[in-house]
Amino acid sequence: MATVSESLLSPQLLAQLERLELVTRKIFRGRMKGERRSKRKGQSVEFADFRNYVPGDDLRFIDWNTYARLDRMFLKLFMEEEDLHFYALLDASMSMDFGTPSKLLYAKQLAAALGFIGLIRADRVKVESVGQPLAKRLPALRGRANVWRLLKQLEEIEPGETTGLAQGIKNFCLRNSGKGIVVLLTDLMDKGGYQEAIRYLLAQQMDVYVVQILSQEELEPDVSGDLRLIDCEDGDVAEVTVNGPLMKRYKETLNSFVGGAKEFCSRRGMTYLLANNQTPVEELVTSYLRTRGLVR
Amino acid sequence: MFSSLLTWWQWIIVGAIPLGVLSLYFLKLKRTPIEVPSTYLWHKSIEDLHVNSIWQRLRNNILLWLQLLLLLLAIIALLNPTFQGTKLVGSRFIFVLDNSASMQSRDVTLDGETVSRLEAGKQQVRALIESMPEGAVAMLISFADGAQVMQPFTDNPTDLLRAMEQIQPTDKPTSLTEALRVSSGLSNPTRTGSEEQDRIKASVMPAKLYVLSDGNFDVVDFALGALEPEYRKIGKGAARNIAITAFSVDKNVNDSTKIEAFASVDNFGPDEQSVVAELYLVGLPRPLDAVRVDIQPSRSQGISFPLARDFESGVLELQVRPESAAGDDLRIDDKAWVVVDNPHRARVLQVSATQNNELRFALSTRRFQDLISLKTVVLEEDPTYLESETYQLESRSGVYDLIVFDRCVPPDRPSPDGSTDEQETEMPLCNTMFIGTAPKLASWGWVAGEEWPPPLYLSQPKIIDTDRSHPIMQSVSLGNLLIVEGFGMAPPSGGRKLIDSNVSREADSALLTIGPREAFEDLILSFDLVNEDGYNTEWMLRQSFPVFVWNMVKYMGSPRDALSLASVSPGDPIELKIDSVESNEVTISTPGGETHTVARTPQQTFLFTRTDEVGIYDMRSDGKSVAKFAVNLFNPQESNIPPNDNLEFLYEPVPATEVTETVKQEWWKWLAGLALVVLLVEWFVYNRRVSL
Repeated sequence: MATVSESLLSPQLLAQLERLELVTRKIFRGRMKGERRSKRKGQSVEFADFRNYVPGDDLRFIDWNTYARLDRMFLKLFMEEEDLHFYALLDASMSMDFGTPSKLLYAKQLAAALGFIGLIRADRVKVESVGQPLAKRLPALRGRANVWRLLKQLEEIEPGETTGLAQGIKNFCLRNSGKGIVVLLTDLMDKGGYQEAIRYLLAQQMDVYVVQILSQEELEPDVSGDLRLIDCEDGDVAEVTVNGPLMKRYKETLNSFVGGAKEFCSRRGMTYLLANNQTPVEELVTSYLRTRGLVR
Repeated sequence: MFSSLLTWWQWIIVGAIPLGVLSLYFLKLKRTPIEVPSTYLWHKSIEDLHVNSIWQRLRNNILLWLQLLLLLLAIIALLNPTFQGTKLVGSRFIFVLDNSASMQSRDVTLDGETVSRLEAGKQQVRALIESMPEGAVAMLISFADGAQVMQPFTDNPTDLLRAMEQIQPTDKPTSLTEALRVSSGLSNPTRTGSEEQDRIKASVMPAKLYVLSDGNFDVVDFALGALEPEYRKIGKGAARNIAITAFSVDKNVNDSTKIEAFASVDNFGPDEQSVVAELYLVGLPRPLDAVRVDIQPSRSQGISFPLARDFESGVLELQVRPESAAGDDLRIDDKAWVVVDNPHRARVLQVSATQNNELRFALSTRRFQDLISLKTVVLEEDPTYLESETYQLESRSGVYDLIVFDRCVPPDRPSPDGSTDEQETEMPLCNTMFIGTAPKLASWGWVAGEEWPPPLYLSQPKIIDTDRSHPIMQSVSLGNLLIVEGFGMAPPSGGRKLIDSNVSREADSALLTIGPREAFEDLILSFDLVNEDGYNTEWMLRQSFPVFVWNMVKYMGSPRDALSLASVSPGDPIELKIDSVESNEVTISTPGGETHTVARTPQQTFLFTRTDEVGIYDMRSDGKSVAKFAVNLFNPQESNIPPNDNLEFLYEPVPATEVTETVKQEWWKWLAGLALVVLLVEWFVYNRRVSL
């Protein structure tokens, strides 16, 4: 187990991650007392607001000083601090098994790093794969002590799931009604399109981060000659004769695909990030995700 | 301007190649299978390429375009495009190219190279063929002493060019007439004879006649009719030539014991030339003699070389060369040969009924002694001679060249059925002369059973006419010749009256007649010279008698008194009478090394016609050389090589058309080079995957 953990999270990375925390731009209601400010007014030390007293309110929260001055009763409201839901949703289709390191492994590392940050900040962390059946529920993890369980869950995700992205996310949304941060780790290479899938997340009113992981082979294909390209997921065949014009066209297509995804996300208040599997996970978390505001 | 190098079926193959290349692009490639995460992006990228239109599919494939360009260049190169040249006007052309001896003169510069006139002429013919308009037909004729149709009318330039390449130079003299006759065959229609039906039998087909020649031949006496002539002069006006125009070996006129070789050398150039003449005996490496002479322009110079007294036979070769290297443009007339041989003595048999000393004396003069070998038989002394086996054998085997029967006839041919009525005289296998009698031959008017010998019914006939045009009667004057008696003859068909008399029976009035008999000729003098009563005529006392005998023996016996055999011009037939050959076939090897077999003619001679080239011809029988003869140009017209500025057709001059040297540039080399460059670019593109 220790070896597995180390393959996903190196000690150096763990030391760096200790100093980080997950950030959300939205304020959600948590389930348990935590370290996050909640929408709910509660019993923290931080003053939030006043409101008129109505019979039945707890008299302990009446601001007596104001009553003395204004001869009216106001209730003092305080910020509530709750925990945060953090979901890492991994695409484990066959296409994610490509690249060195494979895109899935890269996604697992990223999920492990973010999940670790969540655990140490007392957030509720849940790791799922897109292809996870609707009925199957995994427990949310909380607290540093559950790091090993998080890693174990990640380890158990195997490539080869055949559920479409849209269907998988729909299932995810039905399973997890809670609000929170969701990080979708995928290559978005779904013949059915990614837009519908992401709309499901949007409907959940979650703080959505889409991390598109592409391998170097996809970004800069190193192929030549007359080829018969076989899709590893559905066996679809594309016959190409690689030459200058085709490579140019491929690059254009890739750029428009990536750019389209980015625009689609940013229009809907989501954060999009393109990750190359050659970029180290440490750099991605400590640098790119920080600038995107996911961690602090 | 294009002149295809290929025939139509080759073009079909060439045309199929681009289609083949195009179809290769539609063939399924064998592609390397590769597994990729997703074909999602690839499919989007190649969406355009999957459009069904083939043009969409082939669009932007630079390799294909380069390959098609390469093929296009190659095909254009095969079309052999040429730069310059105007189209000929007309639809029928006749190209007549001179390949006579003078066309071997090397005085034409073509592309900086000195070539023969024939080569230059071929170049012009090629240019003319290539500038023929589409659909026009042309005929190609080469001519020297005769004409040869190299290619009948065709519209295929390839055939014409191929035929043109086959024209070879000859050593023969020039005559345009036959070529014109061939040319006009289709152009000028023949007419029917009678006046009311006088209409054109074939439609007139005018043709343009291109004569490519140096113009060194006589005025052409030929009506061109619908032929429109154009004369393309070949050769430069300042051509220089030194030529041997005569060469023979003979006895010295003043001292007949000395033998000399005579030659005549002409300078046909515009400058005075210093010429070295060398005489060789063929077989010896060193010349026998040499002499240097200076010859004025357009002048002839005689040269003589004394020969050793005992020189009897051999082949002499004379070579002339000007001292300045550029003094001679035509080489074939710089050498001449003569075959020196013992004279051929005619063998003459005189058979007289009684002694005829006058005839014997006339045949025994000193001049005749060198010319003939005479055998005289008097039947008075040897009455059975004509029946003897010796005579029978000799007369049948052609031992004699001439037999003179004086008042006698050979015996009759034995009749197969034994009857004596219709027997005819058995004639010997040689020329004969009968004096005072005639053979029993139906062709000579003898009717079977008629009285014979013919009665002498003419008394003192007067000679009214002699046929001076016949060689026998040349310089023979017979004015007021007294003849006592004789009989008249009518010549048989093909024969001639040589002496005609004033007798009333017109048909049988001739006193001297000559008539053919198979390969031989018979001469009949129908009056006696002498008879039992003495002289029958005073002819023997006149000067004309020995002249007549001389002419008669020369003509009928054909002796040869010159030391050298007569030279023959190229293309002329030569008839050789070789006594020493027994077989009926000889082989004759030409100077070029070819061998021809020649059969004996009925006249006991060998007739050889393939005298196409100058030089020594060797005649062999059973592997042994039996005779040699020389063929020499000896033709001042051919040797006079400066080209003629005008051709005359029926005294209508046709001036030469000036043709500047055809600067025809062939482009196929450049196109082929360009195709190679395209091939290299294609290779580069394929390897570098240049994106264009």
